[in-house]
Amino acid sequence: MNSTDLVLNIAVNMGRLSRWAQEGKKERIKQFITDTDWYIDQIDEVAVKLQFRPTLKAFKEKYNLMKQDIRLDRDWAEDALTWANVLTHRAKLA
Amino acid sequence: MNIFNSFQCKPLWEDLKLKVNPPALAFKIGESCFGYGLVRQWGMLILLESRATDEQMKKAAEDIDEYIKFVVDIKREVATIGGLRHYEGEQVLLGEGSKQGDLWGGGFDLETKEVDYDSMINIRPHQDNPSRTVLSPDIRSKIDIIIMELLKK
Repeated sequence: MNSTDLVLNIAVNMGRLSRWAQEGKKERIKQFITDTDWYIDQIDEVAVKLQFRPTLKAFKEKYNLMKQDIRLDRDWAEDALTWANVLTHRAKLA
Repeated sequence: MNIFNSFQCKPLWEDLKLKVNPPALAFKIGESCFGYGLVRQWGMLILLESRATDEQMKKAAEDIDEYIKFVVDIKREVATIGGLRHYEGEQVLLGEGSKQGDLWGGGFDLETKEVDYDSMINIRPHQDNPSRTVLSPDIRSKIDIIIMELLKK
């Protein structure tokens, strides 16, 4: 997978995480955080374009905070949805 | 007169020792600030009734890495931009006379110039919108027109 594919996979997962937070499915969230971590590890192995690096850095910071504090509430769900959208928009820049 | 002239509410927040995020408080503070005259800004949340200035765009983009959340009133053709949560914008607009059924949330990415129509506030099964994304092409089209006008898309 190239960097764009990886970012799109992360974006899709963030959308899922958002939905499950809303639906109260914590076990599914944990499962897909593991999956998302794998994609993030992969993206560290490929060349990401300079233009996308600030977005990736900001996303990782936020994602790590979210991982440490998984909540089944509206705010956590909205954060995940926001990053799903940002990454979807910017995958082509990666 | 530019009624969107930004009036920084932050000192008032600090004086009252209130948190910035709760929407109910945001509106209450908005009312208080409004009493002073020209206030149209809640932290980084900005109410737009005409085209955003460069400064307003810059401020709205500070919250989420050059991505601007918006809530649009498709009837009144106004919007809030910025902030971390769509419900904050929703509360501000409701406080300004908007009706729930006319409010839709989304995002505008300054880096790609793309609009999305996704928000938790969009889930309204009774309006045939059971999804977080705006499903109606007509409503999307209205959002596009308003955002294009307000955000210099």
